[in-house]
Amino acid sequence: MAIDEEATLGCGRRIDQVWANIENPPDVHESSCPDCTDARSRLGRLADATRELRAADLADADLVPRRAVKANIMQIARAEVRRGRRLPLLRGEDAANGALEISEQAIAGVARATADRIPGVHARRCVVTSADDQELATAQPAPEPASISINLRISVSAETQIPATVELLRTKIIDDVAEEIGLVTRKVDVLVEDVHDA
Amino acid sequence: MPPASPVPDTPVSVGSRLDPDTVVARAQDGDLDAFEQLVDLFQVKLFRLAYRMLNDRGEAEDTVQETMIIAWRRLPSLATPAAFNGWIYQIATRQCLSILRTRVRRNTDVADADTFVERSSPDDGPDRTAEKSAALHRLNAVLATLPDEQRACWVLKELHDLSYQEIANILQIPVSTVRGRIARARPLLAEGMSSWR
Repeated sequence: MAIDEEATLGCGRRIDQVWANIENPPDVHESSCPDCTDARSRLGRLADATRELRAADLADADLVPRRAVKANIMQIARAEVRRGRRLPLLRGEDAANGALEISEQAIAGVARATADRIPGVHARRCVVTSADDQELATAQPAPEPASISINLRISVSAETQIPATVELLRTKIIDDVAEEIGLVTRKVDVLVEDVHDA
Repeated sequence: MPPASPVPDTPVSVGSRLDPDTVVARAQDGDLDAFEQLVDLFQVKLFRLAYRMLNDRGEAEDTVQETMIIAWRRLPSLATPAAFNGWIYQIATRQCLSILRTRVRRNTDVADADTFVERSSPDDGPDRTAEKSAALHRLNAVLATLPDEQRACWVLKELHDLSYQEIANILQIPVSTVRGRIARARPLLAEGMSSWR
């Protein structure tokens, strides 16, 4: 099968044209062209072998990594877990003064769990920021719960009533964060970024 | 033997019912359960890719591990969850090509393949299974002789069903180059398989 750099047969047909028609009967040119006939027969055997190799690989129970590989991956991931920023639990306090702090990840976890309990809602990325004005906060005589803003992206199922669901989600997140962590949520921004099949 | 009980590897959780993009988005935020689901979804695919590129189980396993760890570290910077599939294939393919570049060329590769084909060839018997497996071994042996980047293009297209555009993104080369490489790989493979007949 003589081919040049452009993968073209002697008759001028490109190999990928011949390949594209390999599963069909030869067209008018192919059935009378010796170059194409030869190419079709060789490529046909390759097509069969390729199909077999793909099927054999998929069916081969030995062609998988040992369990230890996943165990190693998860062990390293766990050791390098990202907890995000740390936020004070009480207004105006900081870690330097021995104040209690909570990770962004933990707050996001509460917000996501709240979202997951609402039918049709899948919580995606979540960013939590402090909503306290530091100057004002330090002026407070007695410590108060710190306040935060939450930005949550979600995907909703096709039949979800978006405005009502988003409103419900906001209210529930504010309640759950107050109840489970004791923080005041000043703002919940919900972005519906996708619609998934129910 | 009693029927295998359908016990999943991981406990069924709320997370297992999530759509794939949501799983990626959560892993981006550092959610370990979501990341574990991604490992379950991709480790076998990536192993098959690495094994066909490297022909070595140990190196293929190392590639899977390294790829998933790099993914965990860089996930926060992935622009959109939908890009994950192409992105993880890109990391894995680069790992393979990098191993191949640094690997001391073992001249025995082709000789080994030869021996293997001979061993597994049918003795004129019309044994369909043996015939099939001989064809597969021939294809594998010829595949190993292709230049690394060309083999990557062929494996990603034919064994992993990626599009020319996706492969172009993975290898950071023009679509026309991917097309050309695969078009040239096919007659080379066909020719190589015939020469063993």
